Amino acid sequence: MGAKVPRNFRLLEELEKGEKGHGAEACSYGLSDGDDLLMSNWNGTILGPPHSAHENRIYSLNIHCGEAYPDTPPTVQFVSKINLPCVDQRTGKVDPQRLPCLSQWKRENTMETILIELRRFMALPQHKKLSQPPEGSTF
Amino acid sequence: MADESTADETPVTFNVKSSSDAKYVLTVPLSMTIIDLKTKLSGPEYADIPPDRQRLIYSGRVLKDADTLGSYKVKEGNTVHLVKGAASNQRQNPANQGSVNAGGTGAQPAAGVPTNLASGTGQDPLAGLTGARYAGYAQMPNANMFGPDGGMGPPPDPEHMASMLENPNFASTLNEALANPQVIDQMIRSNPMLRDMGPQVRQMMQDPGFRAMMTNPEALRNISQMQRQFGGGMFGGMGGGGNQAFPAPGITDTTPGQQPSAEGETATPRQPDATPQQPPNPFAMFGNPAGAGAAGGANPFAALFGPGGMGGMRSNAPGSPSPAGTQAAEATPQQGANPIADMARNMMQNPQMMQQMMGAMGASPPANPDPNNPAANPAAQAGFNPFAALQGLGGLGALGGAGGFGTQDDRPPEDRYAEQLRQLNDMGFYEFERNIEALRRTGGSVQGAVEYLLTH
Repeated sequence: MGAKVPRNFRLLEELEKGEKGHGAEACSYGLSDGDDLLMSNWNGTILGPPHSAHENRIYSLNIHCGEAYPDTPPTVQFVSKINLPCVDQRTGKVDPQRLPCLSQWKRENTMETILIELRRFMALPQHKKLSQPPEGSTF
Repeated sequence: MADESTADETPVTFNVKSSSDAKYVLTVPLSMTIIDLKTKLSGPEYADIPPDRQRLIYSGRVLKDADTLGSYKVKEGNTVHLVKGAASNQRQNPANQGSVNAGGTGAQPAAGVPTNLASGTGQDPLAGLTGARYAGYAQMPNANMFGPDGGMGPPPDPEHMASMLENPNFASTLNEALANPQVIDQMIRSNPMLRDMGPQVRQMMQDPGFRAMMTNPEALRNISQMQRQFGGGMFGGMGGGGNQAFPAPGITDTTPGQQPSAEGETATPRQPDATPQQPPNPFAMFGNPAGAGAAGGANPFAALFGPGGMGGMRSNAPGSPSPAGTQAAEATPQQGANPIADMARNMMQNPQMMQQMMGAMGASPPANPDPNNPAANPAAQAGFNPFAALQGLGGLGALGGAGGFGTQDDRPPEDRYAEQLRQLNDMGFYEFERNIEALRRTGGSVQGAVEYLLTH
């Protein structure tokens, strides 16, 4: 049990930050099932960065925090279809090897870090003009 | 949820945070549906956004119109994010809407949203100038034109500009361009400072006298002569370096081409997506906050009365630096936006006055430059405006993109951009290094820096 407390403390902290809206404006996250005491499954949204193909879009993601979180990164999966090099085009899963904040995961990173990094990734000059599937389609 | 039906009637107080940073506190029953909430928010006392353009996001989910607040477990004190989206067609197909559908499959960019510069130059009336037919007239931007801040370095030699204008082809092209209200609009639109200055700018630019003056090589020569008489200090507030006759203190090498470039990247035009010939900020000097100190932001003209200019006039020591803040502040009350346009017109239509003024300035700066003018000193200062603007437009005309004159600001960037950094911090950009970089690249424009930060 002792090993699990930090995980849940951390997740509670993140939950509060997400619900109270203290985080960055463009990203939001929260528990997908508020009754889940293990706080494993989360929803995230990313507002598409302006001046890119993602402008005015809202992307939804599922985030799964395993038991070893935050020692190991959560798995992240897009629900909204998106054309992005780090996203598996069949499943929507984010390839951890292709997103620096996941491949070089640090314990201090949070789900918000990931969402912000993904948003930055979308806005990179080489990615911001990728043609995108119709808005609202899902994996 | 049947067991929650009673709990649903209890009111909950939560915050709605909109993308414009406004925050609304609402107390509504949990049984309220999202569409009702949106309708409530669409009122003028709240966000004033039509319900179909509102996107509400809570806890990582886009809230669906049909659901209630209770079903999303919105709790006391929580924050729901409100985003203004494109007009949505989601009510036409509510059945198709998955829990993740943000709606708005149309994804039309909202009306009034400025089109991205990156998307092309289709709407840019200056785009035509990129054409090969101007080859030879137009000086293409090259690495040397960009100063250490990614801004403009020293301007092209005024003589060069004047002789260019002597070419009737070029002069008429420029004249034509300036007669085109679209071009003026474009210029105003592309510069937040000009935009803020309101209708006077347009008036000033559309004034035939002003245009004539700008395209008149003689006038340009006069101006540069006058500029020399002021020892380069006149444009001191404008944040640039090199009047070659009077190098800034500490700068021994006045060759424009060898201006040290602080960053390698600044050698490339910093708006690669925009029309290359369009100087990114031809009017930087109007209110370049980097130049004029505190007053620069509030009064777009304050920059014109920067340290060098005032110092030169008062102390008879051309170019002698004096504290920017106080000088600019002193200058501010002496002039308003409106008289300036008149003054400008006045000046331009009266070559004698200009001559006189130049003479007076050259001989004894503190003297009343024009005995006929009861407004004396302030008037003379206001009189600088047309020329400053002129130089800016001249830069545009020559497509040389010379935006600024004056001395190089060698304060460390965190001082120079203190005010802008604070604004960026307020907006939630906390990465100091990146903020500085963005400000350097945009020459201190907060708006530009935000764009840069969001896209890099």
